[in-house]
Amino acid sequence: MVKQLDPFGVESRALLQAADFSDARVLEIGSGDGRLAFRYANTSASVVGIELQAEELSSAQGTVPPHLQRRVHFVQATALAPPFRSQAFDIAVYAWSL
Amino acid sequence: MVHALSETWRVLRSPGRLVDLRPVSTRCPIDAVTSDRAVEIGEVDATGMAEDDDAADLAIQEMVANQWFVPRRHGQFDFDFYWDDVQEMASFLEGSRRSKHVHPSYQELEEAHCKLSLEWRREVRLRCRRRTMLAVYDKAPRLSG
Repeated sequence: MVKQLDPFGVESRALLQAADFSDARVLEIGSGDGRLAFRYANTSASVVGIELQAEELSSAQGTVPPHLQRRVHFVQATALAPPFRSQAFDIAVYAWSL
Repeated sequence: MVHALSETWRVLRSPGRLVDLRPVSTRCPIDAVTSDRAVEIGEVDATGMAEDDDAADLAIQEMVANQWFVPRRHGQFDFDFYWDDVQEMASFLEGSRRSKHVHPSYQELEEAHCKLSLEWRREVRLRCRRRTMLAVYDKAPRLSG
């Protein structure tokens, strides 16, 4: 088990500088256990994380903080056929997954 | 990957933003660290995914060449993993898709970790510093490729 990941928040800062997440509809591809999504979801309008691995997906779904539960959702899907309408998102993040 | 990126292009509004965040396939130092000291005692060979990374780079380049996406920014930063001991680190790395090969052996790392803990008379943690890239693209307003 990792004791600490990115304790100084370097990744979060880099990501938040990469796009304006304020009120954005975000698609995260390869969302894993949701670690990254939870870092930017506070200001986003909505976040949908797609993940193929059932174990990771379950972990993400089970750890959504209460204040994010209306805005953050994780679904089992692949980037090859994302089950969303065209132009549904403002930002797409490949999280260690491309 | 090109197909996945074309689907990403489809679900993004115009002009939406694509962020590609991933570790760089390279050797990553393992350091013994305290709050004010760091000494390299080994490395993780994370080059095993280089072919996948090259394929991802080529797919992005193709999307850019065909004007599906416009590059905006590209940079790198260090992503740090911390563990209290070698067993913790080994447990994580053995389960990792990208980072299985460690040099020297876990036993030798354990010996180095114990030696420094005794020498420094402080709690010594282990850090693996992973070079990570972040690239930003905007969805091109019209498909012309």
